[in-house]
Amino acid sequence: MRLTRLQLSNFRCYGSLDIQPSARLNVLYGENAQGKTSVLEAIRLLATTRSLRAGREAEMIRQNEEMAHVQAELYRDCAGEADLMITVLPSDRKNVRINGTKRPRVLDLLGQLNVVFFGSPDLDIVAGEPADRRHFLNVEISQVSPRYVGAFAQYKKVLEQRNRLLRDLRERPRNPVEAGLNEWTEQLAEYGAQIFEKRQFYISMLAPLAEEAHRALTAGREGLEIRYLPGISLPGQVRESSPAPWPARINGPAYDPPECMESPLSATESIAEAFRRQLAAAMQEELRRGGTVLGPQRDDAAFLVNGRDARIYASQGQQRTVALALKLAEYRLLEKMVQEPPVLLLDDVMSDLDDARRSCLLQWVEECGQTFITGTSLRAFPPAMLAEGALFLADKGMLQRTN
Amino acid sequence: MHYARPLAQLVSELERLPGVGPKSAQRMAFHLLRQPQEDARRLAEAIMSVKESIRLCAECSNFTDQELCEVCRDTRRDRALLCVVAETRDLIAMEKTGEYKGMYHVLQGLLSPMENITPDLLKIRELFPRVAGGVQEVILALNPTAEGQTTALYLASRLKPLGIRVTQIAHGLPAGGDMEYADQATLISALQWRREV
Repeated sequence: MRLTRLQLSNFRCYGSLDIQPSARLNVLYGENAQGKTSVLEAIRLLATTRSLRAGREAEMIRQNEEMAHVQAELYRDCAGEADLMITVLPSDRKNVRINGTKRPRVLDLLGQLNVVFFGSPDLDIVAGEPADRRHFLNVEISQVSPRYVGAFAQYKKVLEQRNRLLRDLRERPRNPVEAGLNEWTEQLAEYGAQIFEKRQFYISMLAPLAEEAHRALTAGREGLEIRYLPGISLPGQVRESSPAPWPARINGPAYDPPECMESPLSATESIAEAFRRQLAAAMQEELRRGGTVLGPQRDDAAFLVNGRDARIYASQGQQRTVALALKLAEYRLLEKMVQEPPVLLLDDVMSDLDDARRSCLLQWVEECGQTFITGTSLRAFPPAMLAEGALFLADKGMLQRTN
Repeated sequence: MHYARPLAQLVSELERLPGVGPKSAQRMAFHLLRQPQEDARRLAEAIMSVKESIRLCAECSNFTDQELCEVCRDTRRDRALLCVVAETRDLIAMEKTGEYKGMYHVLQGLLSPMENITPDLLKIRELFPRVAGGVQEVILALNPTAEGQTTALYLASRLKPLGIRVTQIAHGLPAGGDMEYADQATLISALQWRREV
């Protein structure tokens, strides 16, 4: 898939911008704070509906303006053309239009455009806190499973309600069953199971691809293992024992589903059962502590390089390699799932990489579909790349094509 | 420059209404100021009369100005069917269909620890004597939200042991809707709630 046109209006430093990117390589260069990353952020916003940076979404609106628009014309190999637009309002709310029609939910935008973003914050996936790794999983799985997004939103709501009830029961002790604790627990198990199941599945798909990419990046010297560390103990080998996913059953045996995030409901059910049992066993502790002690909000993942935890034992260079391998794997996986290459967004990554990794990255870009890459100066890019790509100079909120 | 005191007071009272922001409150206050005296009095009297005469139906907890609400007074309705809704406005929505001929029970809210809505604050206790009096099926018509679903589970786990049929309304595609434009959560729900034809 590729963007054939991108328009920004009152987005970050851009008053208005209208560019027609190249179908392959787009190099955005210029001094710092001139709006290179904002272009990548705008594209990512269309794909994920989320801002790249922390803080309020309304900060994406240009100073003293009412609202920000990002609009793109998209060409997809499998679904043809689409016109996507997202509007950010001062209240942090967003509106979404697809092919000119306003959609009732912002989330309807998910799945239209798929991107892989790689920039310096991605080092946190390896070196940062468990919350950084959960965030990584949330963003990636959201791109391929709308059901995950729904389940996640519901889970957060139920968790908040249940925590409040548990706190309340600690402060004013009374019969938890009469107060409805069982029912909140049931809802928690139901939505939590969907999150566990999707994360487990996503990591099982990502791990072999990351291992392969990591081997290539280290000339075969270092192995990479990704281990999912769920916030409860999950039933073993759920996937192997489960029947075919339900689309196969509905459409008859001739239907061969593509790599698909939507899983058999029975697999989720056995996880829900395990979650229920462990919550029941933890009830006294939860009442004593006044909060939920188990669940996907405690999930983490470990990256083992040659069997040792990369977060603790790896050098910063090794951590960068792991992060790059993860992104390469994410790209391959997304390509497999949506059955066409996603758009690749590389934010100022060239300067952080040594020669070996840089050449590996360049080889990747070579094989990719549409790519947007930023850097402070053209010197950071190899001549071959500059000869092939469309060059854009970012300067004081303007973006000029220079070749 | 501030508003004259009575005007400021009206604006701040209006602002407390749901869905009314400072700007709308101002607009309403100035509108009322320009209205003839009797229009303003009619509004004030309507508000006071609602507060004085409206109470909860002794049977179903619907809002009514009599001992029993209109639905509960209607002797032609099927007393073996009981539809549980969260709010009176949900009851009105059901009634507008003209299809449902059973009785109602209005919970006056949904379970929500965040808003301190505990089971004893809802009209749940009042449900059981009604169910014991010859009801054959309880239909739970609650919103498909976390709060609605939890409340439905809460009621179902307490009604089923009494040997009553407990059903829940389907969640899925709107009638006359276009599948292409349905969001995915709705489609998934429609698939899960599918039935034999």
